[in-house]
Amino acid sequence: MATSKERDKEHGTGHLAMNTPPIVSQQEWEAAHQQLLVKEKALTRSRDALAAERRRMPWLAVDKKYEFDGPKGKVGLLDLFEGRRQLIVYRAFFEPGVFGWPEHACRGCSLGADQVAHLAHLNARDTTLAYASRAQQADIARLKARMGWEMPWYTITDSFDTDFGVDEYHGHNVFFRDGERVFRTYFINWRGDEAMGTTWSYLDITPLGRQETWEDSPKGYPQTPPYKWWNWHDNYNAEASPDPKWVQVSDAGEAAFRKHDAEATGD
Amino acid sequence: MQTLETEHAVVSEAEWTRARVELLKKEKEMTRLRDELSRQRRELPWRKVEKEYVFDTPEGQKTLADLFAGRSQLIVKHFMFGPGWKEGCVGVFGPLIAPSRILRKDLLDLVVEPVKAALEKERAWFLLLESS
Repeated sequence: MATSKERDKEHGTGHLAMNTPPIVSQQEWEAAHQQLLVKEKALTRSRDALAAERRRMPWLAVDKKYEFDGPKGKVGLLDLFEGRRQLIVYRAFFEPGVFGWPEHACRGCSLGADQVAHLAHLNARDTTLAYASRAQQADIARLKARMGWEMPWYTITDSFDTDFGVDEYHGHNVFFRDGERVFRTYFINWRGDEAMGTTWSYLDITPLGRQETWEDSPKGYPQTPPYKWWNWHDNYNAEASPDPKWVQVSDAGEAAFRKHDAEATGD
Repeated sequence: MQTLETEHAVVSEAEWTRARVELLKKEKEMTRLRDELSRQRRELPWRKVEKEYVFDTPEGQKTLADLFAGRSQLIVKHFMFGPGWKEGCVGVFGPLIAPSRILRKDLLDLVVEPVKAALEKERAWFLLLESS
């Protein structure tokens, strides 16, 4: 690793050839930070309100049968849920004709794949994330191994991409499963896609949301207290119900967080 | 498989698309708001860090300047993990300490005793408190 000085030497003086904001005292910095924090919090609240509206979107019944190729052979849209109630399908461009083929998938889609959070947390909220492309399974398996990606990734074999608005451009389609019935609940694309990757961003586009008690959701939606369901990604199976010690710790943490929040000093 | 207690509105494709396009206006508004907030963050004043901080790293001791690894921008996330912790914190304490901010003593008082004891052994924690 190059030290700052070595690197600065490579790039000349290391000083910025641009106008930078004023350098101020600690107090002035804190004051400016507090001022912007009000806006940060307003944005967070607007984001929560938007997610609440998404949860009230009408659903569209998916009656057509779709067939994908998976690592273990042919599967239907229902199988992509892996038994869970919510499914997010991201259409990634990896096929002949796409820049980078056959070594790589589309650069933007690859950047997105690199920022996908550990799926254990999403799965713990009854939600499955899957990627889908036109490339064959052998190519997908090779790509996943090369890039270190572990999400389920299927091959589109029919009109799935055209029917769900992802034949020409990437996008996230959200589905809900009630027994054997499947509904399309939401669709995010273009710059909406760039925000995806965290557990929270994914849950915020799903019909059930984060399923936490503070959320504004329609009556009867499953909700549990925040923090309690969180776990280490390698411990969800081993410990299904929250550890009593963790409940104690998270209660104290939440109390601190609420106090902090009430004093308008956190975001 | 548990069914939702609420009956959700199931509509035609035309109706679904209309509702989606309507909400898309708000989605776009949110994206613009986010961009505007980022612009305002870029205009925030800076504070010069004059105190020397030393970190232990796999390659030995390093200063805050070294952590930039030659780049011009650095984000430091305080990950709650120290002596007495078997594993990293699941996540609850992370949000209390946003990058570039300082944890306050009154927050520590709200942390349960066993955790507090473990935290008090953590040098970095004290460093943060000291700076406040």
